[in-house]
Amino acid sequence: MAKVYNWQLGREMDYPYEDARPRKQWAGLFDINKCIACQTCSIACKTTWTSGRGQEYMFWNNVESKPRGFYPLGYDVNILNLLGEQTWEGQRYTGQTIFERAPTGEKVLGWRPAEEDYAHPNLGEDEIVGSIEKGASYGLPHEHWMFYLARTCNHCTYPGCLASCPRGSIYKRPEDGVVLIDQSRCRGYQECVRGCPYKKVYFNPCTGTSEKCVGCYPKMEMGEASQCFAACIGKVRMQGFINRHDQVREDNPVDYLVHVRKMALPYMPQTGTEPNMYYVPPIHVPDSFLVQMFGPNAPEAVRQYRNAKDDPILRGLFALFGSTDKIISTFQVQNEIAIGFDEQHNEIVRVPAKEPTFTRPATDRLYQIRRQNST
Amino acid sequence: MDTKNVDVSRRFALGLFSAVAAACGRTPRPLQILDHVLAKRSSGALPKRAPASPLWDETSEYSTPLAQQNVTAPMLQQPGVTRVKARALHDGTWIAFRLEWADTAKNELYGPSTFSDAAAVQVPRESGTPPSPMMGHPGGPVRILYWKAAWQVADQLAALHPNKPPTDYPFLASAPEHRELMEKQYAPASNAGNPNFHKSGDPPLFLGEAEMFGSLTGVPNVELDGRGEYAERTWRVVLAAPLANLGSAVRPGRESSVAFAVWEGGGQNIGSRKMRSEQWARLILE
Repeated sequence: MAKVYNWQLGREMDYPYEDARPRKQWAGLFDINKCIACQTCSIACKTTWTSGRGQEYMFWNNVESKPRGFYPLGYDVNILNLLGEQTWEGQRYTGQTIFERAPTGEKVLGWRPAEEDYAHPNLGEDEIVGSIEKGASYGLPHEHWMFYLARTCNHCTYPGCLASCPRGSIYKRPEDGVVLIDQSRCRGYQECVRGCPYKKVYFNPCTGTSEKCVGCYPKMEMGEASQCFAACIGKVRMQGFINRHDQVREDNPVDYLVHVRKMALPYMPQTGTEPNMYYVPPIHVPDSFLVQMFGPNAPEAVRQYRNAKDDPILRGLFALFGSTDKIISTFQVQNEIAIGFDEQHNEIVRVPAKEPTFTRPATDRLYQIRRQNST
Repeated sequence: MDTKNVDVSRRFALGLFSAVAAACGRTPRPLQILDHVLAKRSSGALPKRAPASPLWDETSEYSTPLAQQNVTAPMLQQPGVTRVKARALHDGTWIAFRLEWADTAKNELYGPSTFSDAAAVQVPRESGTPPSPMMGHPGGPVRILYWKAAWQVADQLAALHPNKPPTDYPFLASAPEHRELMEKQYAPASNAGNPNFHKSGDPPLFLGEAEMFGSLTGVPNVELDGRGEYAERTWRVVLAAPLANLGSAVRPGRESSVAFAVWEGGGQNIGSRKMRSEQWARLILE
């Protein structure tokens, strides 16, 4: 095993291949607090990429309800259970990764879902963490919680799928970091399904090969956001490119939220794959759960998010979420206006950092009727 | 004595014995058990799709233990099929191997976490000192003839999900003259020309070349044939290929090498998680 540096763990770790970061790494930002699980992203992906025979059960993008929902069943709790104790000392992960804990004869610690585990794509939808006792719903804040988690392939820097493939059929594109399966070379061993801790690789029984999210790279090559990002009606997402942890640019929206403010956090960083989808955690969930999901910065990320309304740059940056179908490479916020630029620094979108609010009288005088909605 | 009549009656008796044995579902005892694989020249057309053909009784049998692949990761953690028997026939142009092994279950489905029974025959591509028996080594290529039970199933999806309702796939909406092209575009591996993609009616085999673990690459445009039959908890599988497609080492009148591997689908054997013969066996063609 080679030694590679994983900035999300704050340390070096073992990986089957030498460090070979791409020239650019595409990344996604998700504001979990806005997601309503409308599944528009799931359908946008489904109709674009997985409507063929043998792809029926594939959801390269899915939205699941946490903590009771999974697709496939129990993918996260299973790998966390296999990993054993996951401990942090400050920003440094002191537990083991899926590569360091690989059993003898394996490259990666993994497991393969049974076919039945794919039987219910939205199992646990809207279920809260526990049962509500009589009268509890009248009090605030509510004790019980749930939230929606939109997921795609994480296009990891150190992919578990890539490490697992004994044939070298999986590769990471140097130009954008998209992780792809070579469909001319895959022999359908499903080792990648076993090795991906997020279970975002699927086996196609009609072609005999495994398939996964391609990041809509044909769109990305044209500066366009991927289907699931562009289709998000809740403006939950923003697509961009993340720089190395030691080459941070403050005018890069992904760098700013991930590296500078540490508000957008990787999902299950303790697996060691350095995932590149980053989540602003939900504000109403216990810290212990958030730390397990998103690492030690989760409580501070929530605190900052609660105060984001008082921060002009954060206000502007969050207003840029979902504001354009293009990929925003850099941004600036001036005089309560947020501006997004493409890679050539052409302006592609301009939005107010704060949406104006209009209040109408509660009664429509012309028709002498009370309005349902006055703001 | 009329020798012609004796010969006819002997052939009749042999044929009757074979027919009775076949009717009883048993294969007659092999003529001989050897410490090498002897490929006899077949007296009739090669039984490429007939694992139970009496022609297989014309040749001798070779039996070898199989060991867990434990050299490279991922390894097979639990043992699978521990012994395989092999016979071989050739007709000067093609060679056919018949492998036989005990398997408690027939696994011919190939889906998510569902694996198919499979078997392979490996030979050196070049004559001379054989390369590593573990899929060759750089500069020492091997040719591998691979059979998979799942490739004998006409429609894997229907077999996996027999109660699946009819689905309107987008490609079905295309004009008939474009249907094949559209269907291909919705099957990425097919579109990419992956030799692992088998459509209904294709021979259930694959021929590849390897120079080490993980390097198996399909040999394009080769004609292959074969078939497996499962009965009485036993697989009998014929894997046949033109001699020329196996390289230059395997030729009539010459000695070469051969090795075997078997995958038990029920034990989640796949890829390098396999049972294999640890050493080359001698392969002699009449």
